[in-house]
Amino acid sequence: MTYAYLFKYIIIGDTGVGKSCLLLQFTDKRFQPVHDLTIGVEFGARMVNIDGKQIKLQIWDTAGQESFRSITRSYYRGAAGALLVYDITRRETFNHLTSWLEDARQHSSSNMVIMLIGNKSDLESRRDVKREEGEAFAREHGLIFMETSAKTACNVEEAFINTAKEIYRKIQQGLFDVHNEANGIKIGPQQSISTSVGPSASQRNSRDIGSNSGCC
Amino acid sequence: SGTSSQTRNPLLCDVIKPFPHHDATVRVVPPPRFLPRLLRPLPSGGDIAMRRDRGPKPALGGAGEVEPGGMAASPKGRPRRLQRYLQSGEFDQFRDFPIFESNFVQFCPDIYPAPTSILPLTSDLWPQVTRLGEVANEVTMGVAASSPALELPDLLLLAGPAKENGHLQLFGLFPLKFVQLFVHDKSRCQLKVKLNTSRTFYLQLRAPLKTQDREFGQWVRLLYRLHFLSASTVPFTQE
Repeated sequence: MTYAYLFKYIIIGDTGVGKSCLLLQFTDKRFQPVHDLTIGVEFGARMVNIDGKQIKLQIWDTAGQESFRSITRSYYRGAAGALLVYDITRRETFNHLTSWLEDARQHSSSNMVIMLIGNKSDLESRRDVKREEGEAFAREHGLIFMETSAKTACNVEEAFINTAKEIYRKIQQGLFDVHNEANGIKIGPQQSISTSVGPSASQRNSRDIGSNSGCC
Repeated sequence: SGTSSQTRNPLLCDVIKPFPHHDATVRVVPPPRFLPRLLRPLPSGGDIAMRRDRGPKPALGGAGEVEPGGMAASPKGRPRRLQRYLQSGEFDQFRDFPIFESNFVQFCPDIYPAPTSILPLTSDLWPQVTRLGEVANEVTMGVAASSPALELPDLLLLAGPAKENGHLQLFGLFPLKFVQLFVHDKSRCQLKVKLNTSRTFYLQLRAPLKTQDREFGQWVRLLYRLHFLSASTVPFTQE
């Protein structure tokens, strides 16, 4: 299937926060409670529709364990979007966000859209990080923020798609040079820039979702 | 969701078909000067472990003299399936990687000693290559060098047909230092791949009968190179 754009995403964050589960929920709509440790990078892909445009999300699920970090950070380059994930039931995963963010900023485009995700929102009784703390961190660092549950699928679609919407908005505003592949954006096969960029508001696809379903 | 549709990958590669075999030559003679003679008869019985524990080493020689990792990624011949897929541009960072690759069929040695048509493609009995549970008993495996300056390959790439359309899809990229490769059964052209998690899977080469032994021999030699080079305690440096 053809697409107007391909966006490269990376998923980063401490080990065990649910990065691979988020990917599996997004690409396969299922939850697998037990996962092997990710080593290196595993890949997923899905088409989404933003503003009437077919967009292919190419998602790089990276290893979160410290011992793999020096390797996986070399693959941040050329990402248009990043999902920075912590576990709302483990305070230390929230405390490490600054380090992940520094890595991401250092190794990728300054225009990269970063979505901060507090995952495992279904485990409210074990919550260790308040939602407000996540919101404050995101505000302070210029990130988008959502709480998600890979288990219940709550906000998972929204997290990936809202990131794509923000990237698309930046393309329309001319903030992303789509011809520079270092920005993590590729124009799809047989697409020209004139047909890829800038649909009017009237062309907005009615199937687009809202910015937040509010389920979490 | 009404906001998206299922992935339908664009046509990135051909379906599996016989491919030219003059394009993947493992050069092992002469070996690098600091190495012992690499090729010895395989011991019989049991798996033979090949693991790369050390980091990448500097280039051995000038361009075109020795291919990275002693493997030739079709320098003259037609690129194979995985390489063509990566060259198509969706994975920009991997576009220029030299790759040595083959097609395999995954099998479960405890249930079936060799791939068989009895087991349906979608059977849960197949062990999964990918952690995410894709049915992936048709596997393209390649070793790649992330830089032409490397003497040895440093990455393992796994790909297979996408569920939706059968087009090749990259599943994962694993640093070779976290992977153990074994010759599981030489007579059946079988390899064992063990990631340094609990994941282990078995692959049988899928190649035309007349070239199968030769191609598997290239894998065996490559595995030996990985093993012996990683065992070297004196890093080779290029002036």
